[in-house]
Amino acid sequence: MSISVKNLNYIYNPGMPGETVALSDVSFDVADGTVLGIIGHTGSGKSTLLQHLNGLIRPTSGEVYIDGECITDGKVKMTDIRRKVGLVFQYPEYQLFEETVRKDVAFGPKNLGLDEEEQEVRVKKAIDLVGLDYEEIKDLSPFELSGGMKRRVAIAGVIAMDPKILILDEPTAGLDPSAHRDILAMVRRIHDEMGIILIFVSHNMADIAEMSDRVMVMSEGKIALEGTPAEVFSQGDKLSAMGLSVPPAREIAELIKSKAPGFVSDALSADEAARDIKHYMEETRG
Amino acid sequence: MIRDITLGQYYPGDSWVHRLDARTKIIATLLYLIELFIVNNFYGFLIAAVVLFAVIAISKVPLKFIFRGLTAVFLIIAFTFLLNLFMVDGRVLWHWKFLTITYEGLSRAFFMAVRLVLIIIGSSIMTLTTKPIELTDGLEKLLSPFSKIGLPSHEIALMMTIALRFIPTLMEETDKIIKAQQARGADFESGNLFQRAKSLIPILVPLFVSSFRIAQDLALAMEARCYHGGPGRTRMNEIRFERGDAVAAVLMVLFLAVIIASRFISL
Repeated sequence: MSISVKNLNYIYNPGMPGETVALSDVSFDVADGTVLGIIGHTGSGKSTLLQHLNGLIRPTSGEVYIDGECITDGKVKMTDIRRKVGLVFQYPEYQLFEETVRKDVAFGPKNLGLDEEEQEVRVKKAIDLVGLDYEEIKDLSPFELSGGMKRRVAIAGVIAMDPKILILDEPTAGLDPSAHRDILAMVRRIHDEMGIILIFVSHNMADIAEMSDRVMVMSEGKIALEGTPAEVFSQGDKLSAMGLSVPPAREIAELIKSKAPGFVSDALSADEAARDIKHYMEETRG
Repeated sequence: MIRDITLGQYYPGDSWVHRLDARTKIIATLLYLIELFIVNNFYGFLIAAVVLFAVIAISKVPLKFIFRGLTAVFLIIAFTFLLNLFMVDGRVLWHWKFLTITYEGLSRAFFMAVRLVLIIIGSSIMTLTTKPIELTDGLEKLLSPFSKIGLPSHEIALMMTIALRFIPTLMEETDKIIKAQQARGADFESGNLFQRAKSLIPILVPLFVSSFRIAQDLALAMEARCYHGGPGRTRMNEIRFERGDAVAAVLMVLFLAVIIASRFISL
C-alpha cells in the first residue's frame, strides 16, 4: 500500500467573495507501513489535504494515487476508496448516533455490504484494538460513555472497516492527559498490529516526534518542511517563524546549549534530553 | 449543496440599501410581499420584477449570489408550478390520459412560480443587505409597542438573533457530520425514498446532539455575563431613521400606488 499525491491544488469558493486557496501544488509520497505526522497552523490546509486522501473532496487540479490507483479522475467507486482509507475526523465522538456501541461500530462494515457474521467479527476485533471490553460495552448506549471512551468507540467505527491506511485528525484534541496518553498508545498499537500506513495530525510536537517516522509541516496550503523528525525539528527557527515550535525536550536542550558551552544534544524526547544531560554532567565532572 | 442556501446570509457592503434603517427594510419587504399578492396580471409582475432588480442593482449584491439562493428552493417552485398546472379547471389547452392542462391552470402556475421567485429574492435582499443583529434590533423596535399588551418583543428578537446566528454554525456542523459518515461508507444518494430518509438518521442524531450541546454552552455563556433580558437594557448601536429612510418611505408609497393601479390595466 502506498500513497502518492501529485501537484494537488484546491480552491474554496472559486469565483466567489471569500475565495481561498487551501492547497497549492502539494506533492508527496508515503511508503507502506509509515507513520506520517502532519503539523501546521489552523487553516494551513491540513484538514483539506486529509479529505482529499479518501475522496471526500475533489481537487481543483492534481492527482491522488492510492496503491497506484488514481482516485481523483472520477472513475473509481467511492466505497472502494473508503474501504482502503479510513479517515477519523476531529472530535469523532460527535458522529456517534446508534442505540448501542455494537450497532454504531457496525455502521461502517454494514455500509461495505458485509454479512452479519463478518460484521460481528469486525466489530469485536475493532473494539478489542481500541482497548475496550467488547462484552462489557457492546449493549451500552454510546452516549452514556465517558469522553475518552466515546472517542475510542468512534475510532473503532473506522477501524472496523479494516482500512489499509488510517488517517486521524487530531486524535487527542480536548482530552485530559491520561486519556491523551491512552489514545496515543492505542494509535501506536493499531499501527503495529494492523501493519498499515498511519497519518495523523497533531499540535503536540512531542507526540509528533515520538510517533512519526516522517514529519510534514504545512503552511499556507504548501508543504513547508518534510523529513524525519530529527531533520524537521532541527530547523527550529523556520518552525517558529511559522508559529510552530519544537518538542519541549528540544527547547530545553537548546536553552542548556546556549548557557553551557560544550553541551551537545539533539534530543526530541524527555528521555533523550535526560540521557544527554547526564552524559554532559559526567563529562564535565570527570 | 448545503452551502448554497443564501437565505439568512449577509453580503457585506456599503450601498444605499445597506445603510437603510433595518426597520425600513423590514417594512419594505413586508409591503413588497403583500404587493405580490395584490398583483393579478402580467404588467404588475413586470413592474414588481423591475423594481426588485433596481433595488438589487443599487445594493451591489452580485446577481450570481442572489440566484444561488434560488437553487435550493427550486424543487418547491417546480412542485408548485406542476401542481397548479394540472389541478386547475377551465378551458382545456392540452389533454393526455389523466393529465389536463387548462389555460387558467397555465397562467395560474406561471404567476405562482413568478410570485414565489420574487418572494424569495425579495426577502433574501433584506437579509443579504442587513446584518442579522440590525435585523433583529429593528424587529424588536417594531414589535415594542405590542409589549404593552404582553408580547415579549425582546425575547422574540433574541430568539431570532440566536436562530440566525447559528444557521452557519449548524450548516458547518452538518457538513462535518455528513463527511464523517461518508468516510464510514454512508451513502445518501442512492436507494428509494424510504431508504434515503432512513440514511438521514446518522446525520440527524449527531446534529441534534450537537445542537443541544451548543445551546447549553450558549445559555451558560449568557448566564456568565449576567444576561437578564429586556427591561433596562441599553444598546451599543442605537438605530435611527435618517433622510434615506424618508426617501425610501416615499418610494414605497409610490410603488404601492403603482401596484394597485396595475390591477386595473386590462390585457
